[in-house]
Amino acid sequence: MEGFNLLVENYQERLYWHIRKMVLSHDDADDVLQNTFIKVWKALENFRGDSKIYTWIYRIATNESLSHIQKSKRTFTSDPNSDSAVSSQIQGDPYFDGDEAELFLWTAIEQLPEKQKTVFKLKYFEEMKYEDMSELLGTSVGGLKASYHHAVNKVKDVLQKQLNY
Amino acid sequence: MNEDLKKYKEDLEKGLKVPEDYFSKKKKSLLAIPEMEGSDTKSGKLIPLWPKVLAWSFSAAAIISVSIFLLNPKEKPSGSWDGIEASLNEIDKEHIEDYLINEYIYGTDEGLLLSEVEFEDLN
Repeated sequence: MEGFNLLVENYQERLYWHIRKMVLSHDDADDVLQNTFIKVWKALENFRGDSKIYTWIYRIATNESLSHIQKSKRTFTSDPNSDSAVSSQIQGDPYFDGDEAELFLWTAIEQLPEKQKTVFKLKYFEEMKYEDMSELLGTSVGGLKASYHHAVNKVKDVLQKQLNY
Repeated sequence: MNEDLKKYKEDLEKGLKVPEDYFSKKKKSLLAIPEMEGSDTKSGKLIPLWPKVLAWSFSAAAIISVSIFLLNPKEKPSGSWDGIEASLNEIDKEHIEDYLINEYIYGTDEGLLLSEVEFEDLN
């Protein structure tokens, strides 16, 4: 139990920000963080120490975020990827405080196809190595590089159109 | 990382806020997980097993009892020779005498009976 407390002390904030960038809304991030630590607690006695503890928890948090995204996609009534749906969802979050440019960018990222979005976020925000990402997502390094390349081009397109970049 | 996009990264992250004191409040809720989950899972794993163990014990005991009752080697079916011998031993001598006398008077097997029974046995 002391070990678990230490994990909470040391990693809750780091994990929260990782999850938040994956799911974007604060409420969702809060739920996913809770579920992540519940899973950590349940699986802690089976942790074999093959990887570093943070890598292990990070992996749980990423998987929880991805399954949360999948679930919320299923429960969305209108087209979750439409421009207005995404931007109103971001603006509707009381804990989003970005300016117009940031709203455009977040909207562009959120509108990416699911796989490209995940790869983009893990690479762009987390600077995760393709090899680690490949292990986590079960996709070839080549496939991930291609996904990231497409994602970057799409986001840049939005930047050019919206911000005269 | 693409340099053009890199400059926006910090701004994007800065636009995401959390409620006041969120992390200290959240810490309390996360630290409570072992207590909440512990009672539901760790001991919960044991408690549901008890009814199962009891049910299995009762079932096993019932099966063993029925098996002993049905397959007891000492309890032969009533039609077996040992069973007939045992019930014959319980018949009074008087009953046998009455039966033989009646058979002698009314029965058809008197020849056989008289040859088998001596006069003394009838007294």
